[in-house]
Amino acid sequence: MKKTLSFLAMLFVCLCAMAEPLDDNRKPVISGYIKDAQTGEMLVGATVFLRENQSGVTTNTYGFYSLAATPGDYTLAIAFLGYRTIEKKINHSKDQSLNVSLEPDVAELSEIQVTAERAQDRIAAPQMGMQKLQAKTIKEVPALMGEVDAIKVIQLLPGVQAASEGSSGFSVRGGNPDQNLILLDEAIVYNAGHMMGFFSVFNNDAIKDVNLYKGDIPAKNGGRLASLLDIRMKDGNNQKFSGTGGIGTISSRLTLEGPIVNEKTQFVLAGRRTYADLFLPFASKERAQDSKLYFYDLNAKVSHTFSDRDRVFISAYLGRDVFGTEGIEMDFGNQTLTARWNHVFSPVLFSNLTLTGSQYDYHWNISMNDASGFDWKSELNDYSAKLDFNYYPNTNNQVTFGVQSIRHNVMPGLVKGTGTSSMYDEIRVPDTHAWEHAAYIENTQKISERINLRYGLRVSEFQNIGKGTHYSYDNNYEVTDTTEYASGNIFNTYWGLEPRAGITYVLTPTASIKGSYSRTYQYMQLASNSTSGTPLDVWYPSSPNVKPQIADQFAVGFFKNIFNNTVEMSIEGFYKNMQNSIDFKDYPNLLLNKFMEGELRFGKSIAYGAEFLARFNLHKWNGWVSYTLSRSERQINGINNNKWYLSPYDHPHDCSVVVNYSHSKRVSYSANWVYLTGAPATFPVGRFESGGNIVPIYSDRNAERMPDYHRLDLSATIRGKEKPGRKWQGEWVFSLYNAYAQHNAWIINFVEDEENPGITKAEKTYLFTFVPAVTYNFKF
Amino acid sequence: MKQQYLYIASIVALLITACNEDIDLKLNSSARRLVVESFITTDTMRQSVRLTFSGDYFNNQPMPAVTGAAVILRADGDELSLTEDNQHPGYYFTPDDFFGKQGVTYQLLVNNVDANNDGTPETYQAESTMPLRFPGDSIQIGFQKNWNLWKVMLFANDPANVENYYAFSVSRNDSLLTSKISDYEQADDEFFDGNDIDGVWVFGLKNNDEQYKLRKGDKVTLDVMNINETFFDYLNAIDTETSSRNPLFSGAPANVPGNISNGALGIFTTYAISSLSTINTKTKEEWLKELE
Repeated sequence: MKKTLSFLAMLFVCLCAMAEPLDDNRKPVISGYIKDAQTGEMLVGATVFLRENQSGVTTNTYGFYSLAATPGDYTLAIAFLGYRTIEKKINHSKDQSLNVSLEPDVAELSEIQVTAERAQDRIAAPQMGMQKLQAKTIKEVPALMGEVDAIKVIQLLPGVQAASEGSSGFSVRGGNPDQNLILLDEAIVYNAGHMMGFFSVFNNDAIKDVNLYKGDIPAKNGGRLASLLDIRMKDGNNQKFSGTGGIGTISSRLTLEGPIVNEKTQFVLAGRRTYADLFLPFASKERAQDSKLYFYDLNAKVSHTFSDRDRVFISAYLGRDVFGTEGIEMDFGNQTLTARWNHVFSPVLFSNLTLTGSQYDYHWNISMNDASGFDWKSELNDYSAKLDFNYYPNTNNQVTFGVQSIRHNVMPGLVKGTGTSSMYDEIRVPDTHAWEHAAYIENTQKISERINLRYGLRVSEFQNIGKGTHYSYDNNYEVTDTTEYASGNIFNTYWGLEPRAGITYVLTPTASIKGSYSRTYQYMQLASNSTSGTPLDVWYPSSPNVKPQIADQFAVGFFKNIFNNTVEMSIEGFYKNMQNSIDFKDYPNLLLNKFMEGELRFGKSIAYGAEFLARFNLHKWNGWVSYTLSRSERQINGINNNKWYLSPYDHPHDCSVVVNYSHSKRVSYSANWVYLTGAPATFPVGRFESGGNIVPIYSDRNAERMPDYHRLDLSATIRGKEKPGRKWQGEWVFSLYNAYAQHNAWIINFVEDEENPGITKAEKTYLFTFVPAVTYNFKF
Repeated sequence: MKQQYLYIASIVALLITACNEDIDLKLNSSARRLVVESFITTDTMRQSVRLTFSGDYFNNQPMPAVTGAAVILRADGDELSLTEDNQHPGYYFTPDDFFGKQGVTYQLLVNNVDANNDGTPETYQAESTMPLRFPGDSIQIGFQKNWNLWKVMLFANDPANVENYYAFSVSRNDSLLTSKISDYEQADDEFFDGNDIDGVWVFGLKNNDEQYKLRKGDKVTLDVMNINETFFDYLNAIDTETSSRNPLFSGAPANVPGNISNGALGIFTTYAISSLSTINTKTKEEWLKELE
């Protein structure tokens, strides 16, 4: 342990030594920030390019860039999709700071922009399996009940599927939903769903952009096998006070943003609340009238620019679901807090210190005025610190390095009987505490005009720490021994080397081939046996009984732009091999069970497939077509007689089409269509009678399939006339989810006919036929 | 805490307007297996072992009875050969004066059954220990207004420092309301070991269902069964496999775990039984008045 810590300390010292390079011989550097001219919002991924020597760089997640060049006269071009490109003649002799503001390109009708990177960057960057979505893009896709939802749009990308109909849980490349790292301003969001997962916790009005990395995760992030979903909140408008909002079918939203005192400080405040409960008093059933049913979200962010060298951001999220009816009440939600400090040590060294806290908790209470009433709580708290550096040593290298530590504290469950005559003892599943440390370094290097490399290493370490209780199990998963560890006592350590690498070979300016390899470790996972999960699921850490999950992913791809970069195509193939995979024994007891680890079964899994994506961005038409052919399988000891079986997220064919048509400046139409092979299922192959019941005998695990899934959604947006001098802009959005009312099976149940005992039948449950919704959005 | 899940499930039902429709599915079939069903209790009566075969899931016929088997019950070194009854094919009976004894381990042997049709009869066995009997103190009737349910509440004392498993069934005027074992309620004492139980809600009888509603003067009987862990797990599994699933709460379907050897299905179990009765003294309206 001491060794590991000292290793980390050493690495850190080395990195810091690099941080202030004493190299006086380096070329002078142009550095600064690229912003939106109207809002002051930092532009992430904008291209800064020197025409004369064809070298360029993209802005980092804080809009910062640094570009070295030999002294001379240059034409500096700055481009960002959806903005007017700026060209500046510069005389370059020594280090200089240059902040540039870009004007949004209003003439452009295109709305959907899956990537904001310049077309050529997409071809050349040694990064695969990555997609970027802007809030604007997300808004254009027809939404269930009109609730614009980033995660539902993510599910339309190749290799990504909803965990089940309407769910905000998602599976990436056949992985489990808990294998996705979801970050909101760098704080981990542990449960991204509202209302049983039908809506995600991300209020689109507060979001700047969303980046999804499918397995090929940069070295600066880790802790999950399948993907990184990196969601960034808006910084806020520092030019003028403005607002956006909407009145929808099930919720209303309002976002305010603007400068505080002057343009150095800005804020965003966004809120959303559903009002389904306001209609409950009209429900016919007495029970419904006493019910509570709502959720809300609050996002807040303040940032301050001290100087070009120092900026501070503080952002917070608070969301909660509340529902209840007489005698039962439940509420749950996430809270995150992020504080960040950007510091520019020198024109070639940018640093960011991030402190985050995140919490997920739920609470429910049953009080039926009898002895069985109780009060149940579960809570997870994370605290993390991360120091990240971007180092630009010369034109051809960009280095990212840093260190990170996360403290996990989990209270899996605490139940107290309520009432004076309670029959229950206090039940407390022992809390767990753990440290997750990491140090990483990664370089993106331009080897030649044709070859770009990205290579990095992440070293991760995981420690179980007291106060804690460890249960030993025998081969039959029966507890044999209990060990208590005192507070602060580190009783188990795992560590792993996680290499990440990518290579691009540029064939022509519009075509390239890429390859990548990444190894990822996962130390925290969700105790959920169902496909879409519930708010009651509890996260549990690796431990002496639970080895960390490990994934190795290999990918190759061909990238090609055609028709003057208006159509971007890619084909990516991947093969993912996972060790220490976890599944649950039959009839597992996952809640309130201190011996939960005895319900786990371990094995291995693989996933492989090919993903095709064509994105088009034509004059009036834009959108994308995606198709995925894939397979995901597991072999877990103690499940399915140790034979291989399909993962519940195996969908061999997955096709999505998203189309947006701008009829005029005021009217646009959108449609999306999804087709998925039905999810694997376990169906009866026989029956027997017992105690008056007809009991099914099942096939092997997941040996059968549900019917195929398909759905069409439509929407139309009609904007109000723009009048000179009027700030208020409104638009109506009419949407129709599942337009041709496909009865997609949410679940298939095998039941005994109520009228004819002894007669069995298959019955499918479907959730949504067609769901129309109207939303009015406004801006001022 | 199974009941609490049902509450949550009903809230979910409020949230989403799910619809059901029948679908045609072609299912595979599996090899025929022996099914044993035997519940030996502490009551003095003619007790039985029922033998049937399994069948295809959509084979909507009564399950074929297994006749001509040799069924033997063993306990404390004694052996009892059960007799087949032509009136009830598939049933094998003990004498009328038979009762299970607390703390005794019973063994069941079944011979001369050729489930897999290979011409060679197989042998099956199972064993079960009769738990000790812990009768409750009394029951009371109550009414839950918003759910429109009659409550059957139990007062009892759970013995300390032993793992106890309970199952409950309920009768109205001596006619059983829990006709299937999936209608039973079951509980283990993990969360209330050794505690006084002052009126735990065991059954809720729907007031708007003639089959279950209580009238003034009705006699209500609660059977308290002290069961063993195997049967407890079996009952939980039967509950899961005979109720509706949904992707939020339900895991993968699994075969109900039994305790018969050689790949046979079903269960051979023993339980101690005691009955508590009371008379319902109020109408619904009187209850509501009292609750106010």
